[in-house]
Amino acid sequence: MQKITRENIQDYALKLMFKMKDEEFDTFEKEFETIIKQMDLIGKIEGIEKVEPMTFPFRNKDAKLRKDEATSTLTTEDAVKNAHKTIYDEVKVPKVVGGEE
Amino acid sequence: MYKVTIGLEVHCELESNSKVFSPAINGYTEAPNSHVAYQDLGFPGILPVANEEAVKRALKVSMAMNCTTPDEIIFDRKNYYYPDLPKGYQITQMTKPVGINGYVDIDVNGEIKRVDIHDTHLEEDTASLDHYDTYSLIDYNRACVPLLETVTEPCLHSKEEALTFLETYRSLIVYCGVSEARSDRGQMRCDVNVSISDTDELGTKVEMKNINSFYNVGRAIDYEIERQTEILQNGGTVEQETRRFDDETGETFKMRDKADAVDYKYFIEPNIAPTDVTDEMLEEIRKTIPMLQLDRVRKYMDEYELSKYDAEVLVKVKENSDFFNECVELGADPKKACNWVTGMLMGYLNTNEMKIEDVPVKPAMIKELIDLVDSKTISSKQAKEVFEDMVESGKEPNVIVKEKGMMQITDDAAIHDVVMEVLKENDEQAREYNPEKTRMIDFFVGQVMKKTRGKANPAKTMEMLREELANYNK
Amino acid sequence: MSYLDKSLEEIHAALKEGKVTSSELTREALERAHASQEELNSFVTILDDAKEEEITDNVLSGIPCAIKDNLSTKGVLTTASSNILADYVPVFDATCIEKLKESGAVMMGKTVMDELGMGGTGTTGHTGVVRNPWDITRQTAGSSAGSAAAVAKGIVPYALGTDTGDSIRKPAGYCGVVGYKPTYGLVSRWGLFAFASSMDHVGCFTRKVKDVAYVIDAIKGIDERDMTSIDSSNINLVDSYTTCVKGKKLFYIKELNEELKNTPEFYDNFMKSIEYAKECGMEVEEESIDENILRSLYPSYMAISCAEATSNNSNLTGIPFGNRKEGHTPAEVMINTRTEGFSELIRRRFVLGSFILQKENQEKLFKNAQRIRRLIVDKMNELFKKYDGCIMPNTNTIAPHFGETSDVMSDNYLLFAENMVISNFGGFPSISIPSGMVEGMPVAINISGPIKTDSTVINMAAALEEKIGFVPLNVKEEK
Repeated sequence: MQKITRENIQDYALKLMFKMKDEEFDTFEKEFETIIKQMDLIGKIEGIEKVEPMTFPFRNKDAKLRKDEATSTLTTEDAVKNAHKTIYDEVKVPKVVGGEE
Repeated sequence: MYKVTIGLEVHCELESNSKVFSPAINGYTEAPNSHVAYQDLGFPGILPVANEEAVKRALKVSMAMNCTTPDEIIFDRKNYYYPDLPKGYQITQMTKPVGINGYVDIDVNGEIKRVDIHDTHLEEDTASLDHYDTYSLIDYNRACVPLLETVTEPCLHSKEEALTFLETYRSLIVYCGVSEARSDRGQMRCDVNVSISDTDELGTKVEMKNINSFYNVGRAIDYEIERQTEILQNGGTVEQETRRFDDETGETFKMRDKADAVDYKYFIEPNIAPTDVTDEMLEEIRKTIPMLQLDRVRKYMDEYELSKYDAEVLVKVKENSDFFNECVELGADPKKACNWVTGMLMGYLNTNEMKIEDVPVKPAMIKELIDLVDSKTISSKQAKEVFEDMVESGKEPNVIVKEKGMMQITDDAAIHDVVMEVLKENDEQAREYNPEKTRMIDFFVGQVMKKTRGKANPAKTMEMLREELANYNK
Repeated sequence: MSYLDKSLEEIHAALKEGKVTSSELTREALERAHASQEELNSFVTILDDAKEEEITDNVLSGIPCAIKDNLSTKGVLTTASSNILADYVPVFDATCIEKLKESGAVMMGKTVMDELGMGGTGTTGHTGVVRNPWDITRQTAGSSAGSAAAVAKGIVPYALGTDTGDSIRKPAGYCGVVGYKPTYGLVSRWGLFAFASSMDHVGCFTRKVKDVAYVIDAIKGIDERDMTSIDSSNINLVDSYTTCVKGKKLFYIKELNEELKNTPEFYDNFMKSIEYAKECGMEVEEESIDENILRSLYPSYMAISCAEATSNNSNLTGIPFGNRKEGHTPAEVMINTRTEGFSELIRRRFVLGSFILQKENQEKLFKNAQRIRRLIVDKMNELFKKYDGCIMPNTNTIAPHFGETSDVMSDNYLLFAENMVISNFGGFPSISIPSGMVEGMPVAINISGPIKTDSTVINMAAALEEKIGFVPLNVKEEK
């Protein structure tokens, strides 16, 4: 498993689109070690690897796919109302350069 | 000589009334941010609900590619940051795609090749970015449009194979009726992996992202083969990396190398509760899958004895092929039906830039037209005239024939009356009749035709004249 | 005593009889909110222009309520107590808000919470710490801190909250009010700013158990906008409300009880509650659950919730909405927005969550946490075949003083760190009610039951409530 170090923490944070301050590292390191240690213990529970991971709290028998109807009522005005910068009903950002995902 | 290995990831937008995880309109519009719902902008508190029709369409393509379908529909999140991705993750399928382990047969210059499909999965499209000098604008209309991504195994070994697969796949999509798959509207986009090797092992894979047309896929493959060959020939090693294809220069440029590979941190989308894929559901979808292009070509050639050329012309557009099939189902002779459809009908459509559904001609009319010629009611030449009327007016051939008075006189008694009349009026010539002189009989035929305005069946007229003239001088 | 301090039924009756008007109640609630705002800091937004509502047969009609600030309210600032949403005014209502409006409820304010719901202290909101009405030197716990404080103080008779680990029930316990988290999916999550989607619930704070029945009945229901919502047409909490629970069977967890013996006052309080339960005609037995699993609840909860949260909050980039901080490139805009928009705690949680989801770590961290989730949920469901519910102490402390605990994870967390998360893991209905006082501060017990048995869980709590006879703070202060 990858280790989190003072050196790579900033890279890590930047991938999540924020910066962490150096002084924040101590707390993070402590927390990080705590959870890794506790998760290590979980790994030692006998037969844990055979258990099917659970995403949903229970199987929802009422779950239904949506009928293919276009019922959205969102107007263009409301869609971009909360954007700080817009031009002609579009959201403005600094020029996007480089490849797309 | 290096062995080339190519794998493709083809994205195709699916058509539907609403988007895949939101109830906004899924359809083209010029007005930015007008086909949007709360989900498409990733507002706090939104939840995705998967569109049943999009799921069914994806399953349809999956089954048409002979894939194994999942027991339930679930989705996963692919996490990354980009200005065109409002939620900061794309909802896609990783754990249980709509299809895995399928195949599609393609015809490469008469050789059938089986292309293995790794998987096909349903996901959402991103917003679109319009670039200006110093800024970019985001239009969320495309965000959340259903997208089907099909991933082939790295089993294609030439540009030709890759392009043939893409054409075949496109036709499969269109035949399934799930999308028009138009690359000019950005409905189809492609990631291409190319590696070359002079051993049995695969070479280093280079990925090119987001190529917007088949033509450019060809150019990108050509460029990469050349680039990688040169590297290897000069004793270098090909880097595992992602490259961008520039369609102005036809070259590829490094985007990022393996070390920068993004970890998408996939996990199951917890907001989309699993729904069962039942046998009934699959059976219902299966019923709607049409026979595909290549199978139709085989059938036309084997069963109907059409030429490969004709068969391929017929299947190029599904609606034309369906039209032809219906003619045959109604009992028309396949070869004659093919002639009408590929000849007069498609000629007319091409000239007028129309689709078969735009003209009022129905398969039953073609059958009727063929019958009229077969029964000698009208001549082939007249049939063409009838067609020209029919394709404009939509009238049935019988009606046109009657209106135009084209009906041949086939009634023996009626022809006989005219024949006797002609003989009486031309008594002198009749007496001089000599079967050796063929020009004389042509004169009498001409007279009969004149009197019937061409409607007397020529063969019958001839036969009767011979008989009567032979008796005339006795 | 003001009508505002009475039960929903009593207030409704008074409104019907014209003894008080919706306008008067609303004004009084607003006055109380303002009066205690400096001291408690319960509200991000106090809606001074809140309008009276017509009195109908709906018990909630015309009665003021408060809403946690992570529930989307159309045209009303909704910040989730984070700087990154400091100016966000939603263009749509959460389903539960729509339903409250249909019921004629009067929304008088949006309450402070731990930033983005990711904290348990009530101290991390962008507008400052929430103080406990019982003792303002103490925390309320969180994340639904302001809602708990507002109900405890008597500003409103009920408030909506949300609960991902114990975010309703823990502050309810520390503030001496009733806190309820229904079956997962009973109340739609449409419009709830997601923290950890697979464990997020909308619920409520009230002063009386029966009031829970009225509030949840009003906001529940299957919602085509939430695929995880459930059909509850046969769950009617008010209609099935009864305090006659004779023959119902409860169990408590032996391992928790052993731990509880270290804090005798809490142990005594809990055992007293068990006695009351028996007096109500319920059977109570002890059951054992593998201590390894119990000790794994906290790290598993942290792993799952941080992982889901880092993804859920990836939409907060300042681009289509949110408190954008400019930059020269789109990446810079996002980085500046998120660096300034999130507090240190949030950033730490996101880095942790992201680490847990990394391809090479998923199996050991994320999936193992999800495996613990399955083990405990399976165990509980097995026990629920024999029992109607599980009773446990809310926790083994009273509300801590500021500075005593923070949201920094520590090794000291033992069994009571996240005992109530069991119900979030399994989607079980779960209620916390005050069970008495320790050192002048309220303490609480918690009852959970199998999914979709919300009615039984509420009724069992109601029966205990009667026996316990807890006096809420607002009533106490009146006297």
